[in-house]
Amino acid sequence: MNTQNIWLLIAAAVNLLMCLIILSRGVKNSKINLYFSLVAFFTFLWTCVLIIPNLGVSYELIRFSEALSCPTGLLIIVCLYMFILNFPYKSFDISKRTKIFLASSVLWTIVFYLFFYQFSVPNIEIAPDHVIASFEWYSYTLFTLNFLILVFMSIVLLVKKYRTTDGIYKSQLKFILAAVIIGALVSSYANLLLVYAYDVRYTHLGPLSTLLINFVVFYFIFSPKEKTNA
Amino acid sequence: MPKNNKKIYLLLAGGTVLIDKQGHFYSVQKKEDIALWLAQMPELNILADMETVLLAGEDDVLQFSHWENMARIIKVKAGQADGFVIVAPVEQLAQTGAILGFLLQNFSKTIILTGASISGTDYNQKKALIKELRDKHSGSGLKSNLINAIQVASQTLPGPAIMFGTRLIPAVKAIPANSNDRANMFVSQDNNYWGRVDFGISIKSGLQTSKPRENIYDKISAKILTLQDVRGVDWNLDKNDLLKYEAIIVKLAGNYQLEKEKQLLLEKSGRSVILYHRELSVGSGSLVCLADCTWETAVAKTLWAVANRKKLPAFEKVMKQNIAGEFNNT
Repeated sequence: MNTQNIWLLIAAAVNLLMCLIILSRGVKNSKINLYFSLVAFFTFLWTCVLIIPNLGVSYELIRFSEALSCPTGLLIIVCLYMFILNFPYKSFDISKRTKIFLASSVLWTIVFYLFFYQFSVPNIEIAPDHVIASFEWYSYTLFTLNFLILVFMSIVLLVKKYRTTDGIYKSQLKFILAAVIIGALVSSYANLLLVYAYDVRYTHLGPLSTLLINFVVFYFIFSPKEKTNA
Repeated sequence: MPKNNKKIYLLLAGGTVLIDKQGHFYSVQKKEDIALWLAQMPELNILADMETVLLAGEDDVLQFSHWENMARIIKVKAGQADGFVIVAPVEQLAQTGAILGFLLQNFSKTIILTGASISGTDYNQKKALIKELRDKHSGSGLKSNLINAIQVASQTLPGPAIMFGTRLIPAVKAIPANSNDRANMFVSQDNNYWGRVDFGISIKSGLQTSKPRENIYDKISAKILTLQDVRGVDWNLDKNDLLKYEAIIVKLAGNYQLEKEKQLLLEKSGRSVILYHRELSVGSGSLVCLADCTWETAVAKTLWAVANRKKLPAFEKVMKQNIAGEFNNT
């Protein structure tokens, strides 16, 4: 198994573990737990989808999984946006326009990349140590723009929350902001923009960078400073 | 599109000091101050459908009438509310919570108490403290306390609770923390918490939420004498001094037997007497001894038991019973 797969497996395992940990805390009364567990779950799914091409199974399966990386990636950022909206509490209502934008982003990506994957990924090149997918240029560019707009919206929302919060939540938001910015920058570069250059050497960096926010959340939950029997 | 928000009643009884980034102070002294005060926290209206009731101004010291009024309003509004949040002065938060714990037993709606880290509008006397709060906590802490309280108020809890800093504490177990941490000014006497703020608000699992029948009381006695005993120091009281009270509660300085002369004085007074120390294990004649609970709860329980004597079993029996989960490790 090559090094890239090992890193991807680690990232998948950590995200799955975090998803289960957060789910066990209950999602019924906590939108924070709900959306973060979805972020972790879709990151796990995205990482699995990135592993499949490296396993060298059937041509069609590889093409399908390459296409699936787009909607799963978009679902991560949409759930992240919803998580940021609700963390640590919902301090803004999003406009109808934003809700439509989020819903339509998810809808078109899922429909297009799932049901028209043969059009969206017309060709893949299988080499001994890597697989390079050719994405249909116009649709992929639209996806890239869509994704980057959502990343920008998430960071702006996070900054806005950081500036208006006080007390104990302010320091938590500082860590989340740092983790999201680093994760977004690394994933966008390694997994989104390098596709244009047909460079797949750093595909594992995106999932690995998501571990940062997982570690931050893990720290919040399990940090020993508050010894309470709760 | 109609909001599907929970309806929360916000009862203001002091503890409302807000400090914004520019160093302006906001508090609620009278009804007209409420709108401007709420405007500093627009998030509250997104979290819940709020209705505000003013019970006491920022500079008022809560009295028995305030607590009775609080219980009465909560009882009247219970049908319309999903939960109640009470803002009270930090110095009286534990006492208020303990009293409500006895007046509103097994209450069907959640009651959360919270407040700012400072109370009263004598800001000139508290300059150093205010500077510390602004530097370390970006304010009086009220906004985050209130936001957490509102989020918890719509969830089912076994009884009234105090939401302060990162801790959700059963109201009958809350005591002031012996630390300089102005964010977390209360602890639970037996280290039993109902929740904490870590990644969002995490409520302890397994809390008893199905409740037996409600027992609502609307009276607490005002005629209680509280004495702080120090061994070897005379009280300088005689029997006639005690006659104007219905009950006497004596806080002992340790786990010891009360001096014979003091015991005799109390026994001859003909009043209901409680001796209290957190770890009291030695008896003093025929006097009722109370331990394993907080001082605020001991006082609240005495006030409630004396005022409702006619509806309750014998005083001594009631004081020993675990009424509102007040005894340690219950």
